Amino acid sequence: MDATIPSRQKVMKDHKDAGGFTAAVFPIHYPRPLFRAYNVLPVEVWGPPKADPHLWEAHLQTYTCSVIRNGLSFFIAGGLDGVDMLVVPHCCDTLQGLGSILQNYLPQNKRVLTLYIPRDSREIDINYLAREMKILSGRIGEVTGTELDESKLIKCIDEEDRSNAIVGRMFQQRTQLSCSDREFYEIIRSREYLPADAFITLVEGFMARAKNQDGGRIPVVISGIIPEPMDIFNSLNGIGLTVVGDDLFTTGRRIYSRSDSTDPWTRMSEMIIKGPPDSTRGNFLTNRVKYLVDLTKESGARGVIFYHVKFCEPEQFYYPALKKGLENAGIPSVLVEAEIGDPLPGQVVTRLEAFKEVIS
Amino acid sequence: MSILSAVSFNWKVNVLGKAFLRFERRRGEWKMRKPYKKQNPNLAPLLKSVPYLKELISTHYLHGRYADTHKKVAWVTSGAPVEILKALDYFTLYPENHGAVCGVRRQVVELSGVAENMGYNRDLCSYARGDLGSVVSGKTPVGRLPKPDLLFCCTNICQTVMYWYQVLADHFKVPLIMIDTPFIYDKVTEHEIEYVKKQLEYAIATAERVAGKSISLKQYKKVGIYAKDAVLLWNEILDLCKHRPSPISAFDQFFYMAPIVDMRGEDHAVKFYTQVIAEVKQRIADGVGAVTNERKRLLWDNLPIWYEVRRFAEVLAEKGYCIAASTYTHAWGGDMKHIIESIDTTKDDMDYLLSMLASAYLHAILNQSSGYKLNVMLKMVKEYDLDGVILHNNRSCKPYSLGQIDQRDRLMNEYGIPTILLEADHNDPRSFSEEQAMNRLAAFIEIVENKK
Ligand code: SF4
Ligand code: SF4
Repeated sequence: MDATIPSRQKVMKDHKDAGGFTAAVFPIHYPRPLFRAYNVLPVEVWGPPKADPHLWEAHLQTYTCSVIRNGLSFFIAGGLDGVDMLVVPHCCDTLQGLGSILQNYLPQNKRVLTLYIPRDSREIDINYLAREMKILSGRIGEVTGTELDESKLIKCIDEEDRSNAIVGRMFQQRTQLSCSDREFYEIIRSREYLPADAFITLVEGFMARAKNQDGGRIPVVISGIIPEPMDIFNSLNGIGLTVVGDDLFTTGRRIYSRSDSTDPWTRMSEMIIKGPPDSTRGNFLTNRVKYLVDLTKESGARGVIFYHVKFCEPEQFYYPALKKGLENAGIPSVLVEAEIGDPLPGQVVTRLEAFKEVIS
Repeated sequence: MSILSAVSFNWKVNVLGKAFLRFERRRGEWKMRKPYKKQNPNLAPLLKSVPYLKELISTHYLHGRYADTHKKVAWVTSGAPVEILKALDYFTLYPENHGAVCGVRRQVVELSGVAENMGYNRDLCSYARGDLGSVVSGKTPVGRLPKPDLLFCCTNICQTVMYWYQVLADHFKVPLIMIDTPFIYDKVTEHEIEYVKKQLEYAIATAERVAGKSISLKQYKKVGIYAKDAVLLWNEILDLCKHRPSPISAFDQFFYMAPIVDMRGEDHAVKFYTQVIAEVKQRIADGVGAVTNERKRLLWDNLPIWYEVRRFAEVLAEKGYCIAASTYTHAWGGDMKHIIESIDTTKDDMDYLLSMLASAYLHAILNQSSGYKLNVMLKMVKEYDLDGVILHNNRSCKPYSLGQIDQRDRLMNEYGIPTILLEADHNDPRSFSEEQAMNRLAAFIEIVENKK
C-alpha cells in the first residue's frame, strides 16, 4: 500500500519545481485552503521522529511535549530549510512558547506566521477567527509576493470540504476495508502534506481496492494526539484490536464539517470552530464526553484507548472527566502514554493486551 | 438572605470576627515594638504593616467563609478583569491566591494527591491540582471556601486556567465566563481589543443575570478608580525598591501583592498601599534595607517557590544579596500600568471604559512574547541596578517558563548579566531538590562575585 503514497519530500519538491511555495505548519488547526489558494503547500510538522533528539535541549525544558521538542529539533537540524514560511497556530501554551522561541530567538531567513485560535464558539469567536485569517492571508501574500484570488480560495475550500467528507467516509467504512490499521492511517495521514485533490484521488483509489475486511478483531476507539510511533497499530492489530473510531488531533478532530456561509472567511472559520469537540479549543467537558461516548457507540467500538503524549496539558486535563463519562456509559477505557521518536514501550503493549482481555 | 442569616453573618463576621482580627492586628503591632529575639541579623525586621496585611487577608477569607450566605460569589483568576464583578458587588475569591496559602502552609502534596487519585496528572499546574484536591476533599487551611455562583477566568495568564475552570464549572454546576485574550506575539491590535471588549460585554450580561441586577456606570467607575489607584500605588512601592539599599525585597513583595490581586477595585487595597508607601519611604529615610548588608541586587523571574520563600530570603541575605525586583510582582507594571494610568476615569462612557479594560488586560506580561519578557527583564536590570537574574524554571507554569533557556543565554552571553535557571515548582515541593538548588545558587553567587 505504501508504494501508492508519494513521499513528503517528493510532494514538496514537485510543488516547488512547479513554481509553488511551501509552509511548515505546526499543530493543530489552521486554514488549509487559504494556503492552497496562494499556491502554498502546507506541510504539517507533528514532531518528526527522525530528528536528533537533543537539539531541542538548547531551547526547551524537559517537561515540554515531544511533539514540539521533536518539531524544534527537526527545524534546528535543517529539516525545514527548504520551506518558505513557518506557521505556528496558537492552540496551547506549549505552541505559544514555541512560536515565541522561533520568532524571538532562532535566527532564520523565513517568516514565522502565527494564528490565534479562539477558545469558544460564539459568533464573536467565528468573526474573530475570520479576521485572524484575513490578517494571516495578508502575511502569506507578503511572503509569496502574490495577491489572493477569492474565486480560487472558494474552490480550495470546496476541495477541502470534499477532503473532509472522504475522510469521514473512510472511518464510516473502516470495518469493510481490508487493510491493516497502519495502512489505513498511512493513507489518512498523507493528508498532512498532500494537496486536497491529490489526497482525494489517493483515497478514492484506496477505497475502491480495499474491500471486504475479514473481521475478527475487536473494535476500539483511539483518543489523543497523534498515532506515533505508528508501531502502535502493528501492536493493536497483533493483539487482535482494530481502530474503528478516531478522536485524535491529527485525524478525527480535524474532520471539519461543511459551513453554510457564503463568505469564504466565515466558512474557513466555522470549519475549525464548529469542528469536533476538542480540548485545545476549550470545548466543554460535557461536550467532549458526549462526543466520545457517541463516537464509541456509533462506531461499534467496545472500548477507548487514550493514547497520550507525555506533558500534553490539554489532554491531561480532560482525561479524568472523559474516563468517568465513559465509565458511566459502561464503556471501558485504558490510558497509555508514549513519546514521539521513542520505540513503543513494552509496558504499553502489556497494558493493551490486558485491556483486550477486559473488552473481549 | 433571610433575616436570621443576616443577623448571624453580621454577628460572626462584622462584629466578632472583625473585632478579633483588629485585636490581633493591634497585638501584632504592639509586639513589634519590642525587639524580636529570633530576628535574623541579615534581614530587616518585619515591616510594621505586616499585622495590617494579615488583618486584611484574614478578613478577606473570613468574609469568604460566610460570603455565600449573603452575597454572590465568583471564583476568579488573578489576571481577570475583575472590575466588572466588583461593580456588581460579587465577593471574589482567587483560587491561585488560595493555592499560594496552601503552598506556604505546605499542604499542596496532600491536596494534590486527591486530584492525582482522580486521574489528574502530576505534570499539570500545581495550583490547579491543589485547588481541585481542595474542592473535592473540602480541606483548606483557611477554614472554608464559599461555593461559587459564577466562575470567571481569563486566559491572559495561561490556558491552564481555562481547563481548570471548566473542571470547576462541571463540579459546581455554575456558569463559567471565560475572557479569551489572544496571545500577543508582537503588538496589540484594534482587532484584538475589539474581540476582548465584545467578550466583556457578553461577560457583563452573564454576570448581571447571575447577580440579579444591572451594572451601574457610577459603581463601575468607582471600582475603576480604586483599581487604578491601587495599581499606581503598588507600582510606586515597587519603584521605591530602585533605591539602594532596597527598602523591601521581592520576598516581601510576594506577600504584599495579595491586595492587588484579591482586593483590586476596593478601597482596602488603596488604604493599605498608601500606608505601606509611607512606611517604605520611612525605611529609605532611615537608611534601612531589606537586607542589612546589601551588597548585590538580583531579579527574580517567575512565581516564587512558596514553600521555600523564607529559606531563600535567608540564604541570600547571609551573602548580602537582595532580590530587589521580580517580574512576577511587576505583573501590574509595564505596559499594563501605562494603559491603566491613561484611563480617563471621569468619562461617562462605558464603551470607552471597556475598551481600555480590554486593552489593559491584553497587555498582561504573561500574555506577551518571550522576547517581550526578556526586554522587560533587561529594563528592570538597568533601572533597579541589578547584578544578576534568577530564572525560576517552574515546572508547573509553561507560559512563564518556556523561553527561559534562551532568555538566560541572551542575558548572559549578549548582555553579560549573570543568570541562573533554578529548577523547581512554585507549589509542589516534590519537584524541588533543596541540595541541587543550593548548590546551583552557590555557583551562581560565585559568578556574580567574580564579575567585574
Ligand atoms: S496540544 Fe499537546 S501535544 Fe499538541 S503541542 Fe500542545 S501540549 Fe503538545
Ligand atoms: S502558575 Fe502558571 S500555569 Fe498555573 S495558573 Fe498560574 S499562570 Fe497558569
